[in-house]
Amino acid sequence: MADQNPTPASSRRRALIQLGGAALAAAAIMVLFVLPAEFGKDLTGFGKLTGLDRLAAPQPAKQAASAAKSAPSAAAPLLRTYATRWRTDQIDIPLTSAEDLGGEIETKVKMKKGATLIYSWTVTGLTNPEEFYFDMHSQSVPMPKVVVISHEARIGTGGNGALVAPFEGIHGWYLQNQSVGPVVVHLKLAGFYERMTPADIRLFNEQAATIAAPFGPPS
Amino acid sequence: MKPQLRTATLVLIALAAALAAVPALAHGIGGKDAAYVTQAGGLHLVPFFYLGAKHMATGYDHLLFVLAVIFYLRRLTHVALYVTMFSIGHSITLLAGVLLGIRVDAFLVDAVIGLSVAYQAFDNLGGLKALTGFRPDTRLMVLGFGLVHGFGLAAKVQELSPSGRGLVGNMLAFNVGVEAGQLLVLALWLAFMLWWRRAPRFAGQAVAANLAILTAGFVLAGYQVAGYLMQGTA
Repeated sequence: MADQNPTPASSRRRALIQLGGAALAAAAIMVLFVLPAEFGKDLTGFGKLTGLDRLAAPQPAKQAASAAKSAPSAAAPLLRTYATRWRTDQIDIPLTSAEDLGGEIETKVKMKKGATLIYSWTVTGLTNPEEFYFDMHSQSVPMPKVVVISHEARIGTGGNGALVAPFEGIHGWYLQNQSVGPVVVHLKLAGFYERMTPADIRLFNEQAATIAAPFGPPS
Repeated sequence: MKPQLRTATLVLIALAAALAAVPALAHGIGGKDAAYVTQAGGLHLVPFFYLGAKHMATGYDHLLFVLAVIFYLRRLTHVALYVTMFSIGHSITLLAGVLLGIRVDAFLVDAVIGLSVAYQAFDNLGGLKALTGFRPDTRLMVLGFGLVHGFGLAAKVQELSPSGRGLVGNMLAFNVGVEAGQLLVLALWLAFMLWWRRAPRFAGQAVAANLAILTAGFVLAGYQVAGYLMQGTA
């Protein structure tokens, strides 16, 4: 077949110089800029000299998320006492079929930084345990940016645990029924928090969005 | 060589500026979009169509590849042929990857995509033929690279659809969006190339531009390889 993509003629020597030159330039860009800025690997000291290496410093949100996942460090106090009133709640949340708008919901509580929430939840009414998705997350008040940390997001039908609020904000679950039938989420809470109605959550998000736009909350 | 080097440097600076402006797009679909889709779940044709188009129109690896492929194509029928080859390639692996649940490491796929950019630019410089005395049929190479790009697209769709529900429809909408985004990009590049080819110093500038694309392809590949090697540590 005729060549449809004619390119200029070149010589072997010229081609080698071009290839080598481009590879060298690329290597220099990698070592001087990309590695320090993206991966924190500062081989030459150029990153430190120019401040590029600070771009690779972990984001506060990431740091908090990994801290939350790791075992409690020696610095974290074993005893935490609160002035806030202690409360417990038992909430049943019906979710309609996944085909409807009522198949998903955000349920959240408001907590100050360091407050503790103990929780336990299960889902009933599922025929297939693979058909329920949740994302447990914390969303900060603007400080000045809104920080969102996802603690656990996966397919699952329940969980037990304790959450220490990484910052002041709203903390809780996005729950999504992915099955065709209706289900009920049974949520038990105890700790030092304030309940939020769906209207409260909407209001919180609207306030955050006006202050922190365009870095809007995911809900 | 001097003015060529100067142009190449300018092009590289422009590329770097573009890269800095859209950091979240460097590796697929970021932030707000990802949050939306993973939260929404289920069948969402228009959002996935939009994300496919956006992925193509704002992913500079795809942009550079398309530019490098059409760089010296003078006839619209040829452009159509090459683009069809590329579309067939990435549609096959996008569909197969998602349907069969094949997961290829996104860093490695993106590294090969970077190398595909470098390959096309080097070919545009006439380097392949000069160096090896042999030039593989560019149509087949474009088809092959299309297959690789498709695995990258499949990885993105899988990332965004956590459950099986609506996956096939979402994937098809995403693929249609990718083609739409590609046509959009192509139209802009073609208009740009038609204008540029008439410039009196096009020949020299073309060499400089391809040198810059070659370098950018290597950087993209290096960036992804570094990401692959340092996964979880950065």
